[in-house]
Amino acid sequence: MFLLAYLAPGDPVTVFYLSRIGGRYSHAELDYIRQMLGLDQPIHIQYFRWIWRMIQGDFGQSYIWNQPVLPLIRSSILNTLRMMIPAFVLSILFGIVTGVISAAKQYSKTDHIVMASSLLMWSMPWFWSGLMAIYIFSVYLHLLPTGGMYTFGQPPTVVDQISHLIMPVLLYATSGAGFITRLTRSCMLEVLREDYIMTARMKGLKERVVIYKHALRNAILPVVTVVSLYVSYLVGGAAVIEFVFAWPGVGRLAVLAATQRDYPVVLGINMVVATVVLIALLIADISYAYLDPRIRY
Amino acid sequence: MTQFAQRAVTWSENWRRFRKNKAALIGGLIVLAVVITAIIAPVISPYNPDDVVAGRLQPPSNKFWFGTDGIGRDCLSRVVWGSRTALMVGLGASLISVIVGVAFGSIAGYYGGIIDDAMMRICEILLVIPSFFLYILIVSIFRVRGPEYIAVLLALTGWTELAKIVRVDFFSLKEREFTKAAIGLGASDIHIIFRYLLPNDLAPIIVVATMNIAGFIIMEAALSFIGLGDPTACSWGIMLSQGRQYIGYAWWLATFPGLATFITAVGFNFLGDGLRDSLDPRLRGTI
Repeated sequence: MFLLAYLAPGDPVTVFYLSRIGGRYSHAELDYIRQMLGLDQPIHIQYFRWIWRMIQGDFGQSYIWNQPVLPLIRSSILNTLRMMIPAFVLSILFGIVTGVISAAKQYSKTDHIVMASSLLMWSMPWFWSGLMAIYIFSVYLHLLPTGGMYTFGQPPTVVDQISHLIMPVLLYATSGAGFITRLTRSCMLEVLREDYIMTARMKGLKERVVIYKHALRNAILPVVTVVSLYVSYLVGGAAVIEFVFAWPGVGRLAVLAATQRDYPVVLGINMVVATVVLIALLIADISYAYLDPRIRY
Repeated sequence: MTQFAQRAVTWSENWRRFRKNKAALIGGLIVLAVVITAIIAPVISPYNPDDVVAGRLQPPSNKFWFGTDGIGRDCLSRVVWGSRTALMVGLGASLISVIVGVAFGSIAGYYGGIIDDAMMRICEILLVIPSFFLYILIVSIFRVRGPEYIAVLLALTGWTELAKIVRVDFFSLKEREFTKAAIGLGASDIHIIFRYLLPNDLAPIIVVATMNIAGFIIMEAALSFIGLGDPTACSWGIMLSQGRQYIGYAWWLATFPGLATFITAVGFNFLGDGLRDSLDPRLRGTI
């Protein structure tokens, strides 16, 4: 139920959107189109109709691509995941390792360097670094393709796709890694102050064991929480990366649809992405139970 | 949350600690430089940013340090003037988000109970909506594209973090003796919030607001970059999006505005980070 309440957010916007659309076309063709699209109905009826259809999996027709919205979104979301998942895994691995190292050696030189560079990574306008990477590696060095998922006119191969993946994945991973590094560090520092860490050290355990076995296990929990809360933000980052590298993902679809005023698509994407984020939150919730034996559902 | 007593430090003490932090000082200097650039933009920019002063796509030279853009405007002047837009968006959005976030957080934190529950649900909803897609939706529907509208949009989705921080701090500040004393003396709620609670919570507000500025500047550039900004505005994001079209043969178009965005964001982030260390050791190292 808690999760269902989350689903509500898109709705006020939706109402507004549906009320605006009639006005948008308002001169010549109107009445006919209105009738056809059911826009001559009062707002609340339109709204419930839209909800009703959406529950049945019908997001309406795209104005521009002239096909149902859902398949459009489905294929693009798969592409997005294909890029996001490796990037996400990379950034989490990298972020946690550097975060732990810098927390274990607080105020050392390593710590300062890691903290400063993670802040630099975090301040990087990732779309700009994408452009620069395209310029250096594609235009100048001719090493990697500029964008897209496959090379045109060639049979899709694994190598080809990987070469298309390298730049977006790495860039996306660095932008997330800076954030996760700082987060991990602060959570680790918190945990390292606890009494049981002291106890573990007193027992004469190796520092490595203390850090990785006792501290990290406890520190990882808040990291998971915060990262899961920021999933929606990360999805937005992915959208821009997709745009830069012309990756046919959901973010690029949203941008294209938005610039061409294809509302059903934009709206559908909003709903689908919100749902995906909710699922991610649910997964995070469930993983707590795994990470923290104290929590039982 | 029991370490609040340690926060009672004077501003000169803060300044001393701030000065010792090199990264923070660098950040502060960068911010200062950007602010000055924005203020004296008409004086230092060599040309009018909207004038066509030369042939299109001229590479950087003595006459045009940053080259010229797709229709022959001077890129250096546009980058200089763009700092005004960036600062306006960053500071404006941050200011609005502080007002909304602090008001929201203080009400939730001060009154607690059902009010708090309801308000926090709103916060969570906002946090879960993929705000980037929401911007796309709103910008495409309302056709608001100017930087000032983008600033408002960013602020209206970007205040939740502040609200949460203020709320949590209010919970513990509310239990402190001086607040209890004020309540006992019959002070009004507003008086207590403004005189006793908020002044004690300034440090994290300032820190988060500063770091938000960097985030807002980047987001504005990102939105403009993907084509949702006002194409006639003189903004770094718009320049970047134009630079993207020519990336194959005019590297300078995208390089300089992006560098400007990056440096400005670094400045604000380092400044915020340094402020945190000096104002509020409790927050050290948190995001």
